[in-house]
Amino acid sequence: MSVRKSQQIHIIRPDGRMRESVLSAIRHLINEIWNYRSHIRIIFKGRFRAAYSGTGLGIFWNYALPLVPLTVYWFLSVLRVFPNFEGVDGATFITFGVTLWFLFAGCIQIPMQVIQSRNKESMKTNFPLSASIVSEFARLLFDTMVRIILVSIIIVSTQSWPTAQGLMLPFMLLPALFLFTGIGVMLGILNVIYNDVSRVVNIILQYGIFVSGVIFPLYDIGILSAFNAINPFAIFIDASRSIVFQGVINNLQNYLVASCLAFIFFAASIRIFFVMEYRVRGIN
Amino acid sequence: MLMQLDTVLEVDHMSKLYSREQISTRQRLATTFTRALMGRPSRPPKKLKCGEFWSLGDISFTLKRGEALGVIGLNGAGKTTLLRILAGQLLPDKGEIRILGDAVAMIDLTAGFQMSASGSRNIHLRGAMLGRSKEDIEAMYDEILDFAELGDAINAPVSTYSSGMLMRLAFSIMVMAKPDVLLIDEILSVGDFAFRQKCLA
Repeated sequence: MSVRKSQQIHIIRPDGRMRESVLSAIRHLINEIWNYRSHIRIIFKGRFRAAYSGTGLGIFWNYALPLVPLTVYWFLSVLRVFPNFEGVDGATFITFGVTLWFLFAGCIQIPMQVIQSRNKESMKTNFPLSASIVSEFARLLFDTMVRIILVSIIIVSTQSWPTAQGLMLPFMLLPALFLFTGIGVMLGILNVIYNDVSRVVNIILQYGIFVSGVIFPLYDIGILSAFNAINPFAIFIDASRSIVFQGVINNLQNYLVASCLAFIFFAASIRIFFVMEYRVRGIN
Repeated sequence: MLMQLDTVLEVDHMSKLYSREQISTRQRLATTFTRALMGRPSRPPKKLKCGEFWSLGDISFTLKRGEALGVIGLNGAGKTTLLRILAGQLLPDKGEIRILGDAVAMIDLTAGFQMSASGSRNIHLRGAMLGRSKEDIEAMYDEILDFAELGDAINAPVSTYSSGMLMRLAFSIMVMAKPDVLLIDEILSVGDFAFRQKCLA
């Protein structure tokens, strides 16, 4: 016989969550996401279908739209607007970087958008914001997978073969995903307090793609070279690209420091999110 | 504080602060954010800022199992806010609430429905949202179907339902989930006359 949750005494206090530690906050959120996994699946499916419903070409759009920015850079590379960099074909260099850029930027933008747009609905339904964020991440994962397929096609067509060490890429990306999700969650909460935050972030991200070594390397450009030693986008994109195409990590020290800081920042931001989730409910 | 055996709900000196000015709400939020960053507990508000008022002030009461309590007040008196706090949708600013078991609020009945999913799927989703296990939901599934009287429409997407059908389904799920504390906010105008009589019964 299953024991009903209703045997417990629930205590609601103004600062109930303030007393929870980082580990307890992470455990709570993992449980929450696990308990709502059916909802996450259904919400993802619903939004996936909604993205193309009523269109003539149907599901084609869900595959085509994430590829548009990549095909622009591919086209420009074919026209020789971009030369080869670091021994890697221009098209491969750029599309690989742009794919990672959209993944990282999505990790920041999605939590911000969800916290801003769904906190009222979350109040009415008790549906946790964490589950809403995860359902949107599923969409980001889909878009990234579609882009990876195109990048693979470009790699084959340009014969810029990756090294065996490239298999480490998913593990190397983990700290980056933690960091940028942490940043997104923290900024999402801040955005409820100061509405300007999302606008500033959008501007920074629009400039960021050009000054983070995504489209061309920056080590020859004085001030940008110094800036990129502390720019997490540049550190993780450069490390990922170098492990895949050269088999070694450029600036290993920077990568390791950034990875350690990423985990610490993620843990801190998850606790802040956990503490503030009920506080931001219903505030537009 | 320990709850007595037959008590299901205890509200202890609970207050809720609201503001008519967005700026003071955000200022309070900024203070809480800073304290959370520093790992300090939040402090109950002492001095009211411009536009702030106590929507609920120093409320205490106890509810025993089987008891019903009605709250009467003018529009804007804070009835829905009270229910939202009891349902765990909002946090109080002072005081404490203890609930033995779970509280389900019938405030926004259809909120949280997945419109593209079928009525049947939504029963499972809403049941899970109310903290019920898969076995519990399966056990009460037929009861919900009988109560909602939706017939074959239960397998159609809820986006095709009329508002009356949607309300009936939502109400049936809530009632059949058999919560320990059921919070109802002016929604007993659900469905047609016969269904309304059934709800009241």
